[in-house]
Amino acid sequence: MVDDFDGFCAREFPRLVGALALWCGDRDVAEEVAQEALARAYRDWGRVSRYERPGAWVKRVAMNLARSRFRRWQAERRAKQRGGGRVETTHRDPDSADAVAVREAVADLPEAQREVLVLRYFLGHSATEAAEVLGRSPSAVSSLTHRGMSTLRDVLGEDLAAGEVSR
Amino acid sequence: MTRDIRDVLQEAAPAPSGPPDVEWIRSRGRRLAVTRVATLASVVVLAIAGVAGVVLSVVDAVDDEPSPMIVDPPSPAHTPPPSPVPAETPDDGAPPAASCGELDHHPEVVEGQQVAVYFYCEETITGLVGTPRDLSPGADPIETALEELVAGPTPEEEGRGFTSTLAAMDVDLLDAALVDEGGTAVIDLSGLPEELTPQQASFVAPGFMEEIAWTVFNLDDDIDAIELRLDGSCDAFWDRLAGEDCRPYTRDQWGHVEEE
Repeated sequence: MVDDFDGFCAREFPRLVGALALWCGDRDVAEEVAQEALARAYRDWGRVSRYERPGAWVKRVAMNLARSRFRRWQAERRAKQRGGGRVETTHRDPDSADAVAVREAVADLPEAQREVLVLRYFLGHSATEAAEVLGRSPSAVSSLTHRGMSTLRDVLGEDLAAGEVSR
Repeated sequence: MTRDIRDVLQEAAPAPSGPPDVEWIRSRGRRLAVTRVATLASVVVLAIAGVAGVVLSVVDAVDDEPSPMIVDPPSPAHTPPPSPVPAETPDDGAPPAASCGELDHHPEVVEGQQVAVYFYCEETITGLVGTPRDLSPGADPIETALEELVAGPTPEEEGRGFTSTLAAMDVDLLDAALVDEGGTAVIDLSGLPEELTPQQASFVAPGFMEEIAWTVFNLDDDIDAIELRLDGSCDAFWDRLAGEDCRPYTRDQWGHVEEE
């Protein structure tokens, strides 16, 4: 199994970066956190590789790491705002206007709502799984999902739908 | 015609700038393994010395790994704090920044332009070490200090051994202000876990209380007490923390005596 680590990195890295970038609004930070999470997986690969879903494990590590990193980013953002500086909220890649609008709308959500929506609708977790990852009750996750979707619809349009997550 | 949120997010999520740097990941993983062994050795030594409570509070609080969940087997190990500084730091000729254990407890700050925030230090573990933060013109010092405290050490500071119990908790700062003509600092937090485990209540909570106390009481000699609130309620904070009614945390209770 240890020999599969390169393949594990190749499979998980894009999903990690996508989820973390949606969550924190910065692809550079997302890549940094994703690689750090994969390093934790490598450190414990003998154990992690035997898990039923090592990908789920590394995503949880990444979310925990991102939480502390995101607080630092928020503090720096507030400091810049207090100082009258310009605040960048999204990564700098040229991209479609729709994609940028979606990322900005997600970035403007309260942290808990943003976290839940990324877990459920980007990573495909059920409400129960998201609740376990976040240490919240399933009903709290459902409530956060509802509020987050409501806000996104206000910003991005009423045609935005949240189909049932099968798992 | 509707758009599914899953499709919308998939399209909006940025792709990585390139493939993962697997060599760096492996190198970093090996270094983390070495750090873990060293940390556990320190815990054993300090526990024997009778300060296990403080040590456990710090080590537990900085655990970034998932606790057991249904889909995966348990991963009970305690980990050292995140340290995103690459193992192979380029040698640019500049002297390396001092580790937290090499610093004085209290940093030099420029009055009116900086505040000090206090974090635990992996090397000293029993004493907190301050690090300066810039204060924007017109900004409230206590609000800035608490925001910075909740945000935790910078990645560079983490690489130098700073670690934070408070930042490791899922806690946000709602407000921080001085009342009672400056005698009491009111700090309103949010996001404290709904049910603290016995270990959190015994070790982690006192750990973050220490970080707050060091930061606030060192900020202004005229601050005599801290009133902590959870979502606006002092009763709610203490009930959640210790099953007790609202009470101030005073400078006398903090009881920190400067080393000679």
